[in-house]
Amino acid sequence: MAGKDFGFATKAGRQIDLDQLDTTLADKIALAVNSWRACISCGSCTATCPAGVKFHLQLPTLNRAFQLGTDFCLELPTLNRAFQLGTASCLELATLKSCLLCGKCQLVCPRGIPTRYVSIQIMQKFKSNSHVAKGIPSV
Amino acid sequence: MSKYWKEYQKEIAEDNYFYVRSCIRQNFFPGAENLFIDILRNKLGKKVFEDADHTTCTGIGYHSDIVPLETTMTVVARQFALMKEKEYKNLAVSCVTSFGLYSEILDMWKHKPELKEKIAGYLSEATGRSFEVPENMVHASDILYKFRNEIAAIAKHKLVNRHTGEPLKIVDHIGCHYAKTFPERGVGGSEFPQVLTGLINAWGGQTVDYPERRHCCGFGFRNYLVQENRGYSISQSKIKLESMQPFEPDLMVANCPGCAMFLDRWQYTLEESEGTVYGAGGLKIPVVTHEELAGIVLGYDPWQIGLQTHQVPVEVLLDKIGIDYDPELKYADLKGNLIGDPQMINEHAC
Repeated sequence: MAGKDFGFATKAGRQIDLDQLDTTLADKIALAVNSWRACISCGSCTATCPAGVKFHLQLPTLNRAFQLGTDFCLELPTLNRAFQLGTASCLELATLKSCLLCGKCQLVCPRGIPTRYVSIQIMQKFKSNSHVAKGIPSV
Repeated sequence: MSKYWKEYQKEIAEDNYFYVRSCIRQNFFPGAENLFIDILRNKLGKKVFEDADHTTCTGIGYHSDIVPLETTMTVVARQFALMKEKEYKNLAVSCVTSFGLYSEILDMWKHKPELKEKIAGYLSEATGRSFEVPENMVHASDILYKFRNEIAAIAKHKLVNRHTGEPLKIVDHIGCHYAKTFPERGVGGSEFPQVLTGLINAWGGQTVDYPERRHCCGFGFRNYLVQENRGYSISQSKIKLESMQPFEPDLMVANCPGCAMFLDRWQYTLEESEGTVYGAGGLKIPVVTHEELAGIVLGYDPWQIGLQTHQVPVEVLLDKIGIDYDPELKYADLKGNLIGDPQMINEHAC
């Protein structure tokens, strides 16, 4: 219905509907790495990541998107959806593949999270979902 | 009462109120404040004084960054000076914006006495007046809350659907500036506001507890002053309306004139722009203020107290309660002369 134009319109809300969250992947990862829930998204791991400079690998962003399970950020929702749907040829695979497993992120994490293990878990969970993992290195 | 609940109570003066009107309430709902004074004076036998020299508190100008804080403080100090001159100590505030502003200023003066002295100097220099802070400051809805049972005892109507015998489902909306900024100044604080729930329950209704119950109405001052920004305001109201829709409320009641205005007017706007209504049966949800709710149960003539100035027609509500009214006199003056129905405007100014 084309309604009357008042010179302004309603805007879509940015609230997160808890009933719509899909945290399947996040729950699986948290099951493997309990301390992952303690991430405060400080960004220390990103700052020290040698792959981040070139490939924009940002663990806090990944974490946050995983935990929200929504389209809140660019990378993870696509990945999460791909994981769920079993269809993926997404950019995020490239960012994950770029992880060197060097462990610098783990050295600087103020919460003591084994971030390298988190990366491995993400890749493993992703890989376990059949053809989605195509291109992800063996760990 | 446990000591914890005592922290959620506030002292409300028994009598002798210095009443300060609201700029926006008397424009949006022109009958509401006269109704409040009439209820206090003639139904409850209270002494209420309103000063012809009282002015705006400048709250909307202040919150819109148009009026500087010290100017606002000086204007508010002048209101306190008027009260002192008339030898009143209990301030009753009509507007939630003013109530929040007074609370904010009193808090600043408490923490910075030198600021209070400075404002006293400004006031003296500008007007020759001196002031004292109120001994007791309440919002008008607090007073109705205090005397809710007395009002119930003399009420002519209950907030009950006469067709079903069920209590009316009523949404209570508390203005943000009533208790969210200074919880100790609101009945029930900001966590468990009772000021409107108490009225609804005492007068036979039933409150609706819906997910976005404590969400802002979207008034927000700057959100609506510029036309292009009003999308932010209406979006907030829409969130609330969508949230309460499944509960099919019969009525909304708000103690803030801005909230009542926007929850009322935005329903019309949403219907016109998006074709959506949020009440049961394809109807919009009537919105009234706390004074008007008291007037309804006390049996005042709906048109005498200004219910025809609401955007959402109130007739559905009046029919549910069983209140007699003359449809022909909806747009009549106090002498019964018809002044004409409102006309639809095609151009929206500003």
